[in-house]
Amino acid sequence: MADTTPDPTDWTRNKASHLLFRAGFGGKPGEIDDFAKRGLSASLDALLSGPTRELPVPAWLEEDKKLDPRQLRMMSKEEKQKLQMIARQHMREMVGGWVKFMMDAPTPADMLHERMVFFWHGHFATSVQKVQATPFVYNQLKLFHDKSLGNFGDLLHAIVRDPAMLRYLDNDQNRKGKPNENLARELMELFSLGVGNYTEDDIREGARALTGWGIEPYQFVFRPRAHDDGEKTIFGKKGNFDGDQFTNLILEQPACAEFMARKLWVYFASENPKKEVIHELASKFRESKYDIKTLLRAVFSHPEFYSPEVIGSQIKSPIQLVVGTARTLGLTASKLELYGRMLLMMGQVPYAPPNVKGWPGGRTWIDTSRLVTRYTFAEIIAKGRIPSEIDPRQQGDAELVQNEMPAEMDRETKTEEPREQRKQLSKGQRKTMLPRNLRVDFDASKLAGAQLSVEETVDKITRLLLPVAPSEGERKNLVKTLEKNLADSPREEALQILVGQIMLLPAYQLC
Amino acid sequence: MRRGLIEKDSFMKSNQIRFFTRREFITRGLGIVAVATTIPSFLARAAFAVEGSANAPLLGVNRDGKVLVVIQLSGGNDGLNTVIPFSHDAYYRARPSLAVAKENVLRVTDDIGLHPNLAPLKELYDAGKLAVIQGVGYPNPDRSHFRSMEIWQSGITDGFETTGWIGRMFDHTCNNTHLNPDSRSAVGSGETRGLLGSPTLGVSIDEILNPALNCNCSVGVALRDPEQFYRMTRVSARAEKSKEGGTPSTVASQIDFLRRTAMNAEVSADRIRRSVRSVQTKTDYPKEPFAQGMKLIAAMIAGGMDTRVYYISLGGFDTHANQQGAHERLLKTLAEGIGAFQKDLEALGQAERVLGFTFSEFGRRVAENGSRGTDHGQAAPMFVFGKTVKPGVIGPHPSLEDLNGGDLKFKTDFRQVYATALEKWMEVDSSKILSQKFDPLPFVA
Repeated sequence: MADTTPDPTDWTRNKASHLLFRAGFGGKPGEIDDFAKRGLSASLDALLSGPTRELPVPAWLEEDKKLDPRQLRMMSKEEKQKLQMIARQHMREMVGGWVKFMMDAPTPADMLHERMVFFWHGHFATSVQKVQATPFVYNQLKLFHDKSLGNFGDLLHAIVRDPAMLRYLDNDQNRKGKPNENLARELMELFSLGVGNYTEDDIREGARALTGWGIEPYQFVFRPRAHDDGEKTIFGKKGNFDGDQFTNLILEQPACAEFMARKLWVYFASENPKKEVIHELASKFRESKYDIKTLLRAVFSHPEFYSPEVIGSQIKSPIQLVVGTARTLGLTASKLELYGRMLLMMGQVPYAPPNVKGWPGGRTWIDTSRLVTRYTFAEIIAKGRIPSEIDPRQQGDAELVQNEMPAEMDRETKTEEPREQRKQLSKGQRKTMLPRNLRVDFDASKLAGAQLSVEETVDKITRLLLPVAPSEGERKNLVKTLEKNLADSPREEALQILVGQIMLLPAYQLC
Repeated sequence: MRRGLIEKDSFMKSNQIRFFTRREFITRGLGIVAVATTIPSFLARAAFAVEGSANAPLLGVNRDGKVLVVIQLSGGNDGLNTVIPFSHDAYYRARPSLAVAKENVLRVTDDIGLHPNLAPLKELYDAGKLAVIQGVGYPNPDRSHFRSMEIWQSGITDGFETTGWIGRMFDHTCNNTHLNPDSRSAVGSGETRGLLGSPTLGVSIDEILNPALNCNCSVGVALRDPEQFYRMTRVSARAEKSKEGGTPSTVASQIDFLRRTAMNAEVSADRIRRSVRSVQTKTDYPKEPFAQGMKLIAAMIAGGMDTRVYYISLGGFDTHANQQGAHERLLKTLAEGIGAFQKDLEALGQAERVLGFTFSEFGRRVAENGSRGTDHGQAAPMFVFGKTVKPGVIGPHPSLEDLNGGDLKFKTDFRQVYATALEKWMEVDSSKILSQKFDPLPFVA
């Protein structure tokens, strides 16, 4: 294997920080120091060492699995509604729990693992808006948790048998004589080869190979009578192919490694990669027989990955922004729904991608409203609460301290809108209401020791939070404000405001 | 950790020191706008407008352009209980508990009539300001809310499309004279591409931009409350906006993009707030959020916004059980909102410029289900309203007996409605936007 590891003397703290931003959600101060000291190769060993945690099994999962969708039909309306309400609550818990799980990632290896789980979720996109049962979603998440750093061939085989995917792309309705081409098409177009590397005939024939691959009720089942076992021609080869053989034929296509190398490069490095870089990565991926760690190592050790054109040029996804902020600062929010609301208003709710293509990323993350939400998030962090100037429904400070309401009461008085009016708001509108009486806390004094000068403090915290140095004007302004605030208020608060101010710089949206 | 009252006080104080005041922003922020050569010209124009008095007209804005209002009925509106085929026994047979009695139907023709709660729409019809398009849908209908809404919002029935049909209209017209005569001065290439066109050309009355407005050219603003949106943009407005120096070009270009988008938000919020504040409406609107949204749209139209498309939605139409009361209330909300809006536009002297239509992702099953509700269906009617609408009933009503899996078969493709709105009203070429040519319908005079 050709060594593409950059000259070790090139390894800097900045590059260590860049690696942790991209391969994770941004490093904590100790993690950056550690990677800077280890050098590239040992840092990559640590990064690629796999998760240290198991995916927690939700307590209610077994109960939910017992619920056969066919039983629902026999139930009374009230029973059904009750169960559906519980199911929705479980789904929220699971998706919210996943976001929290990402924030709690104990090591850089866990961060990279979570970034990869999310990559596969976006790549093999599935939405709870169609796949509503929790066992489907849990099984798929577990699949990504277990296989995200394994072998791509295994993963592709597993996803073609994944009940959530079979449901999402209608393959449970793909029967002999009445084919449904949805899965066959996306399997090639979006999951493995890309447009131009297969024909419409390949889709038709591939769909025949996938007939009879169904679900029962939350597990994969092969239905021989629904399967078309006749001869098919796929990529010019003839045979009585089934779904597994069809998947193998796809994996034999040279385009597959190119397509996946490109997609991972775009996710981790830059949107417009050089052709040579992709060829180089793809041939390593092919030689390794689709070993995902080999490909990732090649990406993270490529000199191009550390070029000035790449460092700091990526717009953070909402997940990167929210999870990264919470993890790096060690945030605690009194109401976890803050994160869900923020992700929704920024346009990225896990398990609710816009369609089977996943999230397009890049500049599509940003429009006027979504950017304003990102800056509102910064303001909430700086103030530790939702300022009443942003949401007048929030109470003033004095009232908040004196009339702290128990959580249950808060739920009842969540809105001032009369019931009838609230009903008319769409689900989306209700979800974007900011929680009331929210508190967000973190120990800002940990970010920079008291022995540092004002300038050193600003430099230290900007180096931690920004992928590139602030401009002279920006830095001057940060120093000036911190000086004034340190004179008037406790150090911890002055630093908290500094963090919020840094988060308002455009560069905080980048990594 | 909790902060005590005293600490809070000093916290607030330090905060005031840190940030610029609003006035300072306007001076400082726009001072930068005026000197920066890379800022699109509409921003510079907006700067002049902001610098003038609160009542000064917005300069360089095409205030007389035609406006389209799209009303999305989310959840799948029951078309058969909206436009009622009262002369057909099959309707009454299929709906033993939900059918609207013949004598209560507001008759439009000998065959069909409106639900009694749509009286304000019947008034519009009688005044020649409403058209009904029957049996609208698309080939190979999808009964999933999610997928079918995506099809209507993208205007693309096969494959997945990130941009919306309205967003693509902006993408195809940002650089030409159709939508914004002044934008020609801002035509650029490379890095400036995708940053042209006023952001307020498309406005979504919602917390997030409706996907129908998704585009590649930075057009589109979502808001429900102009004051709240304005307050939120003040957060970024207070941040330092000095020019970046010495950073690599890709990073600099991203920072520039973010900065311009933030400024777009700030300027849009300011414009919208001032335009709405400048309008005194004398029309009474119901208190519900939908009608208040319509009121906001009317105020923005009369307040001199350059907006060409407004998008608003009304939810709750997924009436699987005990449909009657819920559906009747929604129809009342819809009709009263549109009725007040139309009246207001006429009082404000804006009615000639505005055309609106309603749609839902699908209609509902012909036969009611066992829970006095209806399940997801296919074809459904649309309303088109406005002073210049060519009134009447367009297209045949789908048969109540020749069904597709219990659902009405569509007679008119929804993209014909879009093509008509695009070609005859917005005066843009629809074929690129909808990726093929569709026969227009006769609802624009």
